[in-house]
Amino acid sequence: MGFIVDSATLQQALGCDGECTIQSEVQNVITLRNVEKYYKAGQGFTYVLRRIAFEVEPGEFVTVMGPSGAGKSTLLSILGMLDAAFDGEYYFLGQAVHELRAQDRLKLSRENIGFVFQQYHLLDNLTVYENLAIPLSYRNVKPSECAALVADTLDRFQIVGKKDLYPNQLSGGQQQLVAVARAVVASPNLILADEPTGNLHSKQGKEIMELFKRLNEQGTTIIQVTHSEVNAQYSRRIIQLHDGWIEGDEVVPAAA
Amino acid sequence: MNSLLHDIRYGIRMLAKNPGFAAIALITLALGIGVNTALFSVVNAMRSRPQRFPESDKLVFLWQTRERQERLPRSVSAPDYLDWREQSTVFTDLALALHSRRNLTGSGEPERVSVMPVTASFLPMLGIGAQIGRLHSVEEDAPGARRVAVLTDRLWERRFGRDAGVLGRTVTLNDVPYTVVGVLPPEADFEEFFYSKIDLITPLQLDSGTYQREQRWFRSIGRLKPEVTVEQAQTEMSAIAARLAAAYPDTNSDVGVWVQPLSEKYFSHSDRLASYALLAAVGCVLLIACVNLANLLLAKATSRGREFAVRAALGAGRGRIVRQLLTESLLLALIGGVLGLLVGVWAIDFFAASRADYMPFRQDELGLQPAVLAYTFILSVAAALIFGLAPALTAARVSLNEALKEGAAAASSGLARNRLRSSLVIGQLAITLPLIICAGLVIRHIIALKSVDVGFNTERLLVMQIDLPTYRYDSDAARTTFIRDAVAASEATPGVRSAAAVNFVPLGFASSSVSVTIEGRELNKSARPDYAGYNIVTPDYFSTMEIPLVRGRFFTGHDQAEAQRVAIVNEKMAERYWPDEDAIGRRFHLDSATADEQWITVVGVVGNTGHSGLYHPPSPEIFLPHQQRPSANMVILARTLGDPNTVAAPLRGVIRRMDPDLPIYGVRSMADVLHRWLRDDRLAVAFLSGLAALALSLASVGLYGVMSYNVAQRTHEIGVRVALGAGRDDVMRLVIRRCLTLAAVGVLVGLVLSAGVGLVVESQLYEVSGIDPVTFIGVSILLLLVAAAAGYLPARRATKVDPMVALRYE
Ligand SMILES: Nc1ncnc2c1ncn2[C@@H]1O[C@H](COP(=O)(O)OP(=O)(O)O)[C@@H](O)[C@H]1O
Ligand SMILES: [Mg+2]
Repeated sequence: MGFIVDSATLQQALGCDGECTIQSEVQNVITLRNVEKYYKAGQGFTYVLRRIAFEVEPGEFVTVMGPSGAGKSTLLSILGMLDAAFDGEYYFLGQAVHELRAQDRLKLSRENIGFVFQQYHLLDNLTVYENLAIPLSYRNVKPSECAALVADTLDRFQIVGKKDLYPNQLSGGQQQLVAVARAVVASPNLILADEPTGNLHSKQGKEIMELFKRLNEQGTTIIQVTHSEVNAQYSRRIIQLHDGWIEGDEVVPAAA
Repeated sequence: MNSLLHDIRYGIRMLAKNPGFAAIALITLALGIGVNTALFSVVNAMRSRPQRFPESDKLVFLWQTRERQERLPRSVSAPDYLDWREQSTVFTDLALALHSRRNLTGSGEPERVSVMPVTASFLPMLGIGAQIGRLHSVEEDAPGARRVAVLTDRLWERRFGRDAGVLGRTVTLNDVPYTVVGVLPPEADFEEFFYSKIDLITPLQLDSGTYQREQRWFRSIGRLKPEVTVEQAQTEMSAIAARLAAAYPDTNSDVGVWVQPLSEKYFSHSDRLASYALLAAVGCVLLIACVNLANLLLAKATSRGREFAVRAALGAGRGRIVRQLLTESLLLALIGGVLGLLVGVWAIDFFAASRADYMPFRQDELGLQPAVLAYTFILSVAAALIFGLAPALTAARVSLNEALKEGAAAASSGLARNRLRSSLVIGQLAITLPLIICAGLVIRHIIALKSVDVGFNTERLLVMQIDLPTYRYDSDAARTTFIRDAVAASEATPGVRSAAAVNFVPLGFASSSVSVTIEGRELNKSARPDYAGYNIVTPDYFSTMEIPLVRGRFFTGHDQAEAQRVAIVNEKMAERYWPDEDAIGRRFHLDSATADEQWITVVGVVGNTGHSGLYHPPSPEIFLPHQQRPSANMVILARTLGDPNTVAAPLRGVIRRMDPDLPIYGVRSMADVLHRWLRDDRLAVAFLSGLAALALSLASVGLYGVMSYNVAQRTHEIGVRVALGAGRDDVMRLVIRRCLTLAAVGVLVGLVLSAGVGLVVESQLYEVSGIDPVTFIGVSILLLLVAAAAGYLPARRATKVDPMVALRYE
């Protein structure tokens, strides 16, 4: 389905002259156009995101950087479809998220997106194994298949030995490892990571970043928020956010 | 002391600062304590009834039982009483009373009054004196003495407008003049003797020749000598009964005596058990209310954690914090107790109104007696401890932890608190279930009773008692003619479809039975005589009542005095005495009949009627034609076309025109009669349903509170789950499932409790099992539905959790 349109028609429709290049929408994982986010504050509004527009292609590894309060987390939750209250257009794999009903949006995000947070957000009263199983429980996975998927993932992340431990029995790095595992257990196309190494020592942080790199090489699109220049070097592209405005969107020269 | 005052002042300020919390807590407490106060007031009134009489522990009832060891209250015969007087040594005095209805005529409307002829010892023994005038003397109690009467307050008020000039006036009872010598005080009440309100007391003037030994019509009381116990009296009276049995084998062979303490009569063992059971039930409701408060306070203690932490940091010990919180709880409970008293007074008034026709208590026995006030006070303090202690201890523990900044410990104590709250709410549901199930069982019981087939059509039926005075209607012919004419005139009244007369109307709270001898059964007749219900009817009785004819024929006008003596029996009688054969044509005679009376031939068999009450299975009944048994006391029955109450006045007029001096009483519809049978059961339904509804709403509020708290605590978890793909329905399901799990555990425990309670109350139920599956399953489902409803709002709130907010790092 979707809407496959040839570039020329689209250019015409958007009133662009020959200079802007429009790619076919279906090819992008993400296309944002003029996205705005504001909160009511007293009489007026405070804007958190202003005229955000960018595209992310499949397999990209993007870093969002910016000072605290710039709107990075807000942007990620819009991308992750946790927040549907925004203005503008958001196309995800060709589908107009801003026009989707809540049900369809939920379905789309379940099928495609995994989250990693700075505070890990593992559930304290569930074991590692049970934490990994949560995303699958919301995705119509058969119990036998679920067990297999969790076992696979435990294997892949080399945390089989920890499967019966509770989060508070793990170190921060191990917890974040579990959180990443949980984010990928349902094989998402896109991982959204909000300061995933913010609470970790640099050594632990490096491990997580290596992990992301490998996942990215295997084809997963990744968008991360980080304050660390070192971490940013793992990605191919850095979007700079400042007071809700995009102040830079540049390709990172490949590291040695 | 000073610090206590400070605690109280601070407590008041805390309540004033949280008016919402205070209001919810006080309403909960007022309802919970109020029902307890009301019920205890009733129980207390029951308990204190024997104290109406001086030295009531020495007062006993004496009953004559049909079997030696029987413990049933059965009436006494006068000759036996005279023998007791002569032979017994354990009493300082004995007294005897009789009850009869007589026509009071002269000065105004003729009236049917309730007269209690008593021995001179009767009233003084009960400690009752005259309000004005005097009681009758021993001399006036002697046979042949001048006839005097003492009025009760209700007759004095009703008939003489409290005129003191009534003393010395003459009243006429069944055409015999009596001189009024005194009036009894309003509190003199004899309901427990003959279950009837008394209008006049007359001297019994007992003569050894007047009454037969088998005429067991009297009530007897005695006062024990100070040193004598009830057991000793019982031993002596049993010995006397044995002597009388030997002396008069015809009448006294199996007859025993039961010495029943008056206190036992007025507050019996089963009354006591029922009272305690009901007190336990309302106690459970208060407990449920306390649990809600405990949960509210636990939640508040959490939000006040910082306050306690500061207090602890400033050197307040654990004891000090506990005391502060308990003072607040006590304050709450005492205010709740005062409000509870108001609720209690209201509930007592409601109870009194529902029993307007027969109030077993005096004004000064019901109501807020000192014992009731004390009970309410103790209950309030106990409630404060129950709902205040756990939150206070928890708060004190937490405050120290927080002061020491032990994050992990605080978190784990939060978990413990969660578990405590969950167990509390499970307990609430577990004790709510038996209450609802009890109400359900009683409702089923009433439904079963209402659908009892009484064997006749109870709709559109008016009953009306007339008692022909035998001094005027002194011949069989006069009585036969009057009743026949009265029935005919009634039938001719507009709105009446058919009419008949009977001596005792079925379900009418009075009946008579006779011993009979069945022809052919004399030989194998056991020591015990055969009994049958004794009914005298006019020919149209069966068709008017719509009692079906099974075999043979109904009575006709031809079954007259001179004709062959005939009877109709009910099916039960036919089955009992003529099993496997046709009852038609069989013969029997009444044992009381004179020797020259002929055998009575059965000419018809009719369907059974629930004659002696809704609860009782039908018993053998015989029906004799009024023309052959012209009884003076008959009930006129009218089957009406419409509402029977509308023909009451015309029917009275019809009888009045036939005899202006004839009192007409007991005019009511059969529906009213039935309603009276169910009155106590209905009261039980109203009470238990109210209690169950209160318990259910309290428990659902409790569950709602716990679930709200639970959702608030799980905000983070819910946020994480939403971020991991949980939809609205998943979140909803998460909360409702938790809620239903709590409820299901509560229901399971409650079902076990209910089974225990059900088996205890089973004996009180009519054809309903104590573990009636319909009630048990139905009520369990109801409780789960209510639980789901209580969880719905918190669940909806859970779906509103914004993951962005929930997951934001603070
Ligand atoms: N619910 C809200 N109401 C009002 N303002 C908010 C709300 N949530 C976030 N903000 C504001 O939005 C801005 C961006 O926040 P956030 O996206 O968390 O920034 P970052 O992740 O870049 O530090 C901040 O100024 C924050 O105060
Ligand atoms: Mg942020």
